[in-house]
Amino acid sequence: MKSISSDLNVIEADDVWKVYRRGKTDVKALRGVSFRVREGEIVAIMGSSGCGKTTLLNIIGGLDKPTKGNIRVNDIELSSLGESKLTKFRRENIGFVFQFYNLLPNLTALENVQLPLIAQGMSKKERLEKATEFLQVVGLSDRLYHKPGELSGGEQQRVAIARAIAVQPSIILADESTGDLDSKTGEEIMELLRKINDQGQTIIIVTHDDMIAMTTDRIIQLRDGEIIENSGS
Amino acid sequence: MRFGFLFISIRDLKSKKLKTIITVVGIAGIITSYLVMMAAANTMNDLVDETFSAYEYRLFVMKRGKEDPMVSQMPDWYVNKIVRVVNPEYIDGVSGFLWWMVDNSTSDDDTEFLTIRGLQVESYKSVIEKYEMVAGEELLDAQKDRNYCMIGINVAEKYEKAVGDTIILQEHAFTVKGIFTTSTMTDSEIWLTIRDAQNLVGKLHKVSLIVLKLTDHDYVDEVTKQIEDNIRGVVVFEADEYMEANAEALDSFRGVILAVSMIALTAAILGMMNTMTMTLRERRHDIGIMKSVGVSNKSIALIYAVEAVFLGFLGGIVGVLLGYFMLNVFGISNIDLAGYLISVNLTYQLAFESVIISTILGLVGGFYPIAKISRQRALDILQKFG
Repeated sequence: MKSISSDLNVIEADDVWKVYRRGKTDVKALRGVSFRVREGEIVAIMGSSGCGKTTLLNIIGGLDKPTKGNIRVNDIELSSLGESKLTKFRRENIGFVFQFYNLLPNLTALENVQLPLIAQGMSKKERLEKATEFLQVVGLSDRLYHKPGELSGGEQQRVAIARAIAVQPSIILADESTGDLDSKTGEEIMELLRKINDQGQTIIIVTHDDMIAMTTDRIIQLRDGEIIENSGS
Repeated sequence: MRFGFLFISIRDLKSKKLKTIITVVGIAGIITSYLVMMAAANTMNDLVDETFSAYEYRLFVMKRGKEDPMVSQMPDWYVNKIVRVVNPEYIDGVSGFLWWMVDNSTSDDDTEFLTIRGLQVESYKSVIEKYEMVAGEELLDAQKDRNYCMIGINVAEKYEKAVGDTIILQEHAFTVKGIFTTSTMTDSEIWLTIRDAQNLVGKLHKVSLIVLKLTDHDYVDEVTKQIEDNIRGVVVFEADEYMEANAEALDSFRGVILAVSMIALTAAILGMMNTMTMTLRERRHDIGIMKSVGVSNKSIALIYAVEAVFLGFLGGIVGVLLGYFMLNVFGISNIDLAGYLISVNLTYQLAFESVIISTILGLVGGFYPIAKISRQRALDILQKFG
């Protein structure tokens, strides 16, 4: 059963701007974006290519900083943090699931899942148990010692999800996580994300796919760096 | 800093076996040349030290302005004059020597020099002590021992000569009467009677060096004064002084070797820097992923620093082994340096130093590219824009 999302805001974005300098031109990727995400929500960010979806996701995940405005995640003001503190923030609060899986090709599934656990300083025994457990959760208990090259796209994405949830972050950010998969595998991945959401973790999904967006609690629609719709699906 | 990430270094190295091997071989080649050069320089240093330590408490008399036994030339009657002008209570022995280098080349491609020393057979033993006979007998009679020679152990081994064999010097045959060893550079010399040496090199009635053994070191100043006041155009050195002068010359030689070695090591550092830059460029995406999941800059730097240090360390080990094989198995340990056969010794200390240098070289070479990429933002590395 999905836990009821609480009234506690885990993400608070206020007038967030992101301007990139490309040559002599300023590209406004985000133009004063403001929104809230409550704990335990599953939210879709939609919009056409280049509308600022991934930029917004990167700012929420502490991979990028806003040019102007404030972004608070788990009560931490990210816009004022330096690089090393942002790394620590990501380590403790965020799980990323990327479109192209982003697994380390030389490591096995088990080792890939252990990466964030090592970063947290977990002991070898403990992290091995945990990584095995989460690979079981995503249905890959028979693929522990396979390298990414030996796995299908769907399996690689499952490993990426296991890696994202291994440290049990409060927020999971999925950037087009089904975009490179066939529709059946995509559905399976979404089903997996929903199960994770049922455990109370907040999930933000960037997607082009209306069908996926329809299954979320809320859709934030972006156009040219501005929110044009923020509504329950 | 998380040491748990170190398995990634090993995986990276294993995944690029050919590149790892090429890098290690490259470093090893440079370390080998460094090792061999330094071993040669150290061996020379030790040999010169030992050679001159055999002349402690001796005075050397040479031609002023030509203070080198190979170029100094004085009339041989100076020996008798010294005996006359120096208080006999101050000296235990005086003897003159003629040093010369003989061109024994058989062709332009096979150049070879031999160092010969003419001895005043009646007196040389009073000033030279540190030698032992390995076989045969010493030269003791100025007349009977004409056309005989004593050869150092290095010469005997190199030319496979035994007592009774003949050795040809500038078309002149000498019979080997004895084989000696001093465990110094002198082991590469051929000793003849002074007359034979003078005839052979065309320096009749000449000596290049007169050696005095004092009864007491306190007489150095007085004896020096007595000689320089009575014999014009000569200069008197204490053996120690002469050793220092030679040590300076040797230092210059070592300096050249060191400079060449430093150039080789700098090339190795640049090579390492290039290898690590290429490696990190290939791993850029991996680094971005690690940063995105919260791996710290220090941990990432550690992963690749370990890789660089390991390459340096392995290059050092292989370099030392290669050096050992070159010197001992392929037999290039005997270097013919202007007539002196030097047997280059690879010491444990030098081998250890070489491995340490190679390891540091790996770290230094890897430092800049590692520091540069580990400081970059995850997003810049992943190059993801919405």
